[in-house]
Order: sequence, then structure tokens, then C-alpha cells
Amino acid sequence: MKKGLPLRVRISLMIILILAFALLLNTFLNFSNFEKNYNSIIYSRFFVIAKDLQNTAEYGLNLGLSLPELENIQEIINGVVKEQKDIVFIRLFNDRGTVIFDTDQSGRNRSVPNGWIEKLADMDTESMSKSAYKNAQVVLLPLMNTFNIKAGALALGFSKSHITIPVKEMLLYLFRYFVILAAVFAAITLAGVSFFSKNVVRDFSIMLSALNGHSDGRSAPMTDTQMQIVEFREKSQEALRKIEDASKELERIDKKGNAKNEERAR
Amino acid sequence: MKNGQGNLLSIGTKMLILTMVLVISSSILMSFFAVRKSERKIIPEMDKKAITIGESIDSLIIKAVEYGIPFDSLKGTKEFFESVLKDNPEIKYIAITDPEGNMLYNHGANIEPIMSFFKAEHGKQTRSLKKSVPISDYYDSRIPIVNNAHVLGSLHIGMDRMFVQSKTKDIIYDIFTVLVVSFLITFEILLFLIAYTISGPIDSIKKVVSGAKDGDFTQYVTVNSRDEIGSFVGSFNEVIFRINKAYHELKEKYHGYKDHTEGVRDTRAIDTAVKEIEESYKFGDAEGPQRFFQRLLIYIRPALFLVIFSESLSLSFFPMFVDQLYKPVAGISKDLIIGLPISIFMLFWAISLPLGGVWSEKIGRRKPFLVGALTTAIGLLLTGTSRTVYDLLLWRSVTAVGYGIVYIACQGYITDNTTPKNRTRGMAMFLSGFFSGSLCGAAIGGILADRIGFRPTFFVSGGVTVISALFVFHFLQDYHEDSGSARGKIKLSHFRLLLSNKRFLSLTFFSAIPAKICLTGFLYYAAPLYLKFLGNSQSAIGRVLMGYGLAMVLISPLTARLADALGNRKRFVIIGGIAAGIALIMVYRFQSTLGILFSITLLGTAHAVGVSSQLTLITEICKDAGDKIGLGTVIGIYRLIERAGNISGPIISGILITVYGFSEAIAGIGIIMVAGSIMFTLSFLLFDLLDKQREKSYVSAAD
Repeated sequence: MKKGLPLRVRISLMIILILAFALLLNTFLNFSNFEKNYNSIIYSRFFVIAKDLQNTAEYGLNLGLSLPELENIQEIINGVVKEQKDIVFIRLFNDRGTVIFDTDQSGRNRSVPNGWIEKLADMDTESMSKSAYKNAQVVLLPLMNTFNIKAGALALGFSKSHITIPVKEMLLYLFRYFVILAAVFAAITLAGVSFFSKNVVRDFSIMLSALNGHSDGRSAPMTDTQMQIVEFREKSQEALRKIEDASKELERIDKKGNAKNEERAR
Repeated sequence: MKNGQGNLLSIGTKMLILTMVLVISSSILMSFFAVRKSERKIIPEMDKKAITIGESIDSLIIKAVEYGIPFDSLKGTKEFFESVLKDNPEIKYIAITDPEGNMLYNHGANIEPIMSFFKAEHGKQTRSLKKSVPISDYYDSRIPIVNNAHVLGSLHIGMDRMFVQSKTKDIIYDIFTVLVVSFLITFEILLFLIAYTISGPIDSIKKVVSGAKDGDFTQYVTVNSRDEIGSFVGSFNEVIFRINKAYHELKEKYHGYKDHTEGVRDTRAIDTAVKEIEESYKFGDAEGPQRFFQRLLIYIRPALFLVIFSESLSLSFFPMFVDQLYKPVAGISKDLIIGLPISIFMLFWAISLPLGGVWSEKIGRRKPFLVGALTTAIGLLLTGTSRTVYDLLLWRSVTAVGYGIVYIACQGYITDNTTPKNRTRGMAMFLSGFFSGSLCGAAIGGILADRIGFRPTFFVSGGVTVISALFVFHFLQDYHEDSGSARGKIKLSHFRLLLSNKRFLSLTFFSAIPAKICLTGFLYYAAPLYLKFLGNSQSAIGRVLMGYGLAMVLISPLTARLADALGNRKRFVIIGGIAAGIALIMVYRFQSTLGILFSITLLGTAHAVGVSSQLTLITEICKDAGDKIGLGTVIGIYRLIERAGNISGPIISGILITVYGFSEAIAGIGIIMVAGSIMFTLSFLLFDLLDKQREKSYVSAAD
């Protein structure tokens, strides 16, 4: 509550705070909803691609081939990456985490991050894992052989910016509308509060006029308190007058007494 | 101030309506803009996904055709399409047409009405494959099926046009919850704001002016603003100070004159004048006029609301949070351990109440509130950092002690600022603030936990509690730190006196304690866990728990009025008790989220009917004891014993869940409640009968 602000502004500020709180919560809900849905739709698209590759690889494994023996896979993943520009990498690695096929062929025989191996250990046939790796979002799918034993996994990485840029844009968009709506509704609040509080403000201005003894020219009937203010003004003026009179009397008799004393002394 | 008062009474309502209209319309606009933008972002991604799926299906079909299977005789398409639709709920149909647009295979939604579109599409080469076309309720993506440069047909994938809107529906309940919470918060803040800025100062002015108009210039009004009210008060105070100053200057001169001229001069005239002034008017002492204190009940309510709100933020997920920290302990079931932190919280809360009460009686309400709120804040922040159940037990105990001190300081503040005549109204205001805070906290806590997680929600709780402490620090600093109303210490003999009252025993053990078991055992413990078990999100759990607080806030005032009008509180206690029991037993019959919502709301209604009447009934049946040891002591002891129900609720619930499972355990608590209510009814009937017989025998002996 800052001093010096008119009543309507003080009340408006509080209402604007409430409004901003509700609007902020609403913005937050809408944003988190968008982020969740957008994430889910993007992941699900790359999941479809990864699932296709998983089916192809598992088809080979079910024929009794080992992971390194799936020679056509390299060609297929190269083709997929060529068609889908958003894919950063596709890697197939064995259960020990050694890369067997990679869109970047120099990555072969390297080890995948430990986190992927740990995730693979927790996965079953139907599960899919999402994670982040460097500048990519990763879809991880297990590769099972005929005996339902994990032969390895498939990791498909797509550009993080594919999610972060639109999400950031949405955040900015919502923030912009939050500011615009907050400003517009703040102005409406100020107007509304001014309108609704005008009677109270008027009452106090009449009371102030009554206290100061000024008539504002209005002939509206006074409220009880306004009439009491008039009585108070009269009473206070009467008290001040009496005190002043007594003071003057005191000065007068003091002077008179002093004059008598001087006369006697002379 | 007849007219003015009329204006003031309506200004609060006007502001409330204005704020709600603005909050609702701004929220609707914000959601509209958000959905519009979401559609623009998500639909192109849906198109891409449809194309990806289409290409995947297309490659399989081509493979089959290459293996020599005729394009119009593919087997298993239905099962395959079904699995694709299952994995991708936004896809409503998958269809394959021949080159003329005739349907060969399809699965999913009924696409008869849009068949003509497929035919019309036949032969169109211009349509971009990257962009879907809106048809009826779908966005249709078409992929030509081509083998060796020969067009076999087309694959159509139909995405749900209402997908983005339907996803928005997911948060409509959340937005609605935010609106309800905003309404209650608006109500709390405006109630305070109007009292602080308008009605409070005006009340002060009225009181001081009514004395000053008759010549009492001993008091001035304090207003911490320089708005229209502030400037009026400033001018008024100026007059008061001017008069006091003039009077004291006169008095000084007068005494000086008298000292010098005592017995020398005739001072009768001035003596008479000064005497007349002193008889006609009252002035402040040499230090000036006194400040007028306007102590309003409403000043404590926002602070209470904030503390309860912050503590209730974890209501919807607390058992799940304990579950995350759970490590097996030999000989104790998991369900029991999960209930333990709630029981420990209730235990420390119960212990801190009498101790906090004695302390705040001694030093006033402000300091205990500040200490209690800060202790609660520390407890909540540290709860968020707990790594084991033992950490959690420790930090919940700290939180409970702080919470108990705040609770009792608020009750004390209300006692200090009410008379026996308006104390019930004061307590109703306290309860209404309590349940508003509780329901808002449960709802918002669920939404927050869903989005930011459990631990950060505890940090938010701690932050909100600090705000409540700051509020009290700022707004209650002007009050005297007095001892409030004197209340006697509770002694063992007081317990003996009350425990010898059979009706007191019956009400406490058969009605009050089971009611608290229902509250903590079901609402705080079993309900969140069971709702989670039924697959609800944290937001949904918070919303369902909100039903209890809403019922209490809305129905309590109505039943209080009805009970006042009808009397016979016993009947209300019985009806409330049986209804609470039935509410819980119904969970066994309706094992669904809607069933739990209904049970929780019915429990809130039952408690609104029964629990508030219990207190009045206690004052009726312990009238004699109240005369001896004070009604405050009677209620204090009753509350203390009643809290055994709060402590034992989660333990009983945990044991029952371990042995029987959720719905049976909840129904079990319901049976305890119903049995208690029946015992209460029968015991009161028996006591009444015995009393009547005793009266008869006295009368016949007297005859």
C-alpha cells in the first residue's frame, strides 16, 4: 500500500494483482498443455519411423541372423535419414552398448552413453524410452530376437530444436498475450473501480468540506457521520475559541497585574 | 452514516462481481488465443505424422504386392490398421481406394459420408502430399500407392479435426479449478481490502467522531494512506492535535501564572474559565491524544488462509510422495508406513496446540503467528528435500509444530477480538477461511504437482507461508501485544470432571473421534492413494479432494442456521455421523473416480451437518462443568481428546488397506463411523431414559 495513491488506484492495484495471478496460472496451464501435446506428437512421429526400423531389424533377427549380420540395415537407415531431414542420427547397438550400425559410419564400434545401456536393461518388448543426448532428443527401442532376448537397441535422435523452438515461440506468444490482456484488463479494472467507488470518494469529499467548513454548493441530504462532522467542527471551534479566550484573559490579567506592580513600585 | 454505509456495504459486492467478470473473461480470452496458436503449430506436425504413417503402410503394401499378392486381395489389413489406430489415437480412419476412388479397405470411423470426396479426388495430381485437406470432421492426408510407376490406388489417413480442441478439454477442468480458486482468493483478498481501506477506517472515524462531536478530544484515527480517506483523516487529526496543543499551552501558562501569583493576585476569573474548559471537553494527556485502535477480525483471515492454503498444497499427493521415499522396514507393512507421516503430523499438531495456546496467551498473537508461520515454512521447505521416510517424519513434525502454533494463535486472535455474543460468528469466519484455504490448496497443489513435481510444490508451499508471515508482520504490527482473554490452565482434575460425564464420553468417543478417523484416514490418506490407483492425474486428485472443502464452505453456514433455528443438535450429530459412514461405505459399491468424488462431497456435507453441531452439543451437555472450569477449558479438552482420531486415522486406514485393499478399507472406516453413530444414539437414549426414571423416583420420593 503506497502512500499518496488515490483510493480507486489502491483498490485497482489489488484487483489487478488477483487478475494477474489468475491469468498467469491460466497461461501456465495452456503453455504446459501445449508443451505436453507438442512433445507427444513430435515423439510419436519419430516413434513411427523407429518402429518401422525396429520391425525390419527384428525380422532379420527372427530369421536367426545376428545384429552385425543385418547388412541391409545400413542402407535403410541412410535412406531414412536422407528422407527425414530432422533426424540427426540412427544407431543400432548391441546389448553391451557397442554401435553396430550408425548413420555416421565412423561411429561404428564406439560405445553408446551408459544411460542408454541402463535404460535398455529396464525395457521390455513393448516399451519405448525418451531421453536427451547432446543436441538431440532420442527415441530408444529394444531389439528382440526369436527367443525374446534383447539383442540390442535402436536409438533414433532428432534435433532438439524441433521441439524447443516451437515451444519457445509458444511461450513468447503466450507471454505477449499475457502482457496485452493484463494491460487491457488493468485499464478496465481502473475504470470499473473508479465508477463503483465514486460514491465513497464523494462521501469523503463532502465530509472533508464539512470538516473544513466549506460548502460545495450541493444540497444533498447529509449522512449521520457527515452531520456528526459538522457538529465536531462546531464543537472544536467552540473549544478553540474558549481556549483562546482563556489564554487572552490570562495574558490580560497578567499584564494588568504587572502594570499594577510597576505602579506600586514607582 | 446511513447512506454512506449503504454504499459501503454494496461496494464489496460490486468489486467482487467486477473482479470475477474480469478474471473469467480474461481467462477465456487467454485460452482462446492459446488454442488458436496451438492449432497452428500442431496441425502441420499432425500432417507430417500422417504422411510418415502413410509411407510406412505404403511400403508394406508395396512389399506385399511385390511378393505377388494382388492389390485388391490383401489379407489382414483390418488387424494391421486396427493396431495403427490403437497406437495413434488422433488418427480416426485409414482407407485404401483403387485408382477410381472406390473403397477397397478401410478401418476406423464411419467414412460413408465422405466417400464422394475420395472419388472426386481421383486423378488429382495437384494436391500437395505434405498438406492435409479438411473434410467433414477430419484432416485427410492422401498418399498415392505406386508400384513400378503404376498407380495402384490411394491411401487415405484421417486425423481428428477436433484433436487440438479435445486436448484443450484436458485442461478445461484445470482452468475451471483455477477460476474457482481465483474466486475464493478474490473473495478473501477483497474482504480484507475493503475492511482495510474503506470500512475499517470509516468505522474508526465513526467511533472517534461520535465522541469528538461531544467534546472528547482524547483520540485520533490512524490510517496508513493518503487517499481520499487518508486526507480526510489527516485533516481531522490536525484539528484534534491543534485543540490538544492549544489546551496544553493554556494549561502551562495557567500553571506558570498560578505559581508566580499564588496568594498575591485574584485568579478567580481565569480559574473559572479553565475549569469550564476542562469540564466541557476531554483532552489527551501531556503526550497528546491517544491513537484509536480498530481491531478487525478480518485482518487475520488472509494470513490464516495463506497458511492453510500452503499446507494443503500437498494434500492431493502427500501419500504418493511418501511412497516414493518408501524403503521396506521389517515387520511393518508399506501401507502403514505411508500413513505414518500423516499420523506423526497430527500428533505433533495436537501437542503444539495447548503449548502454543499458553505461549500466545502470554505474549500476544502476532509473535506466535510469525514464529509459527516461519517454522511451518522451514518445515515445508525441508520436507521437499527429504530423501528418506525418517527425514520426512522429522520435517513433518517441525511443520506440524509451526502449523499448530499458527492455528492456535489465529483462534486466540478471534477470541481476543470477539465477545461471547459474536464469538460463534468469529469462529465461523475462522472455519470458512480454513476450508477455503484447504480446498484451494488441494486443487492448486494437484495442478502444480502434475507440472512441476512434488518437491518443487513443497518449496512453493514454504514460499506461500513466508508471504503469510510477511502479511502479519506488515498488517498486524500496530496492535498491542496484550495477553488477550485470560484462560485457565488445563489440569488433570478437569479431565476427571469431564470424563465422569457420560454424555461427554459418548459424544467424544462415538462421534467426534470416528469423524476425525474418517477425515484423516480416508480424505488425507486413503482417497489420494486410491484415486491414483484408479489412474487419476494429480490435478484430478486435487479436484476430487476439493469436493470436501467446497461442501463444508457452502453447506456449513446453511446447516448452522438450520440447527440454530431447529435446536436439537443431537439429531444433527446423528444424521451427520450416519451420512459420513454411508459416504465411505459407498466407495465399496462405486469403485470409480466419480464414486470417490461423490463420497468425498457427501463426507464434506455430512461433516458440515454433524461436526459443527458437535461443538454446540458439548457446550449444552457440559454446562455444569463449563460453569466450574470454564467453557474454554471444556472445549480445549474435547478438542485434545478428539485429535486421537486425527492421529489414529491413517494408522487404522493403513492396517485395513494392508489386510483388505482400498475399497474394503474405506468401507471399513465407514462402518466404524456408522457403528459409532448408532452407539451414540443408543447411549443418549439410554441416558435420557435413566435420567427420566431418576427424576420420577425423586418426585415419588418427594411425594
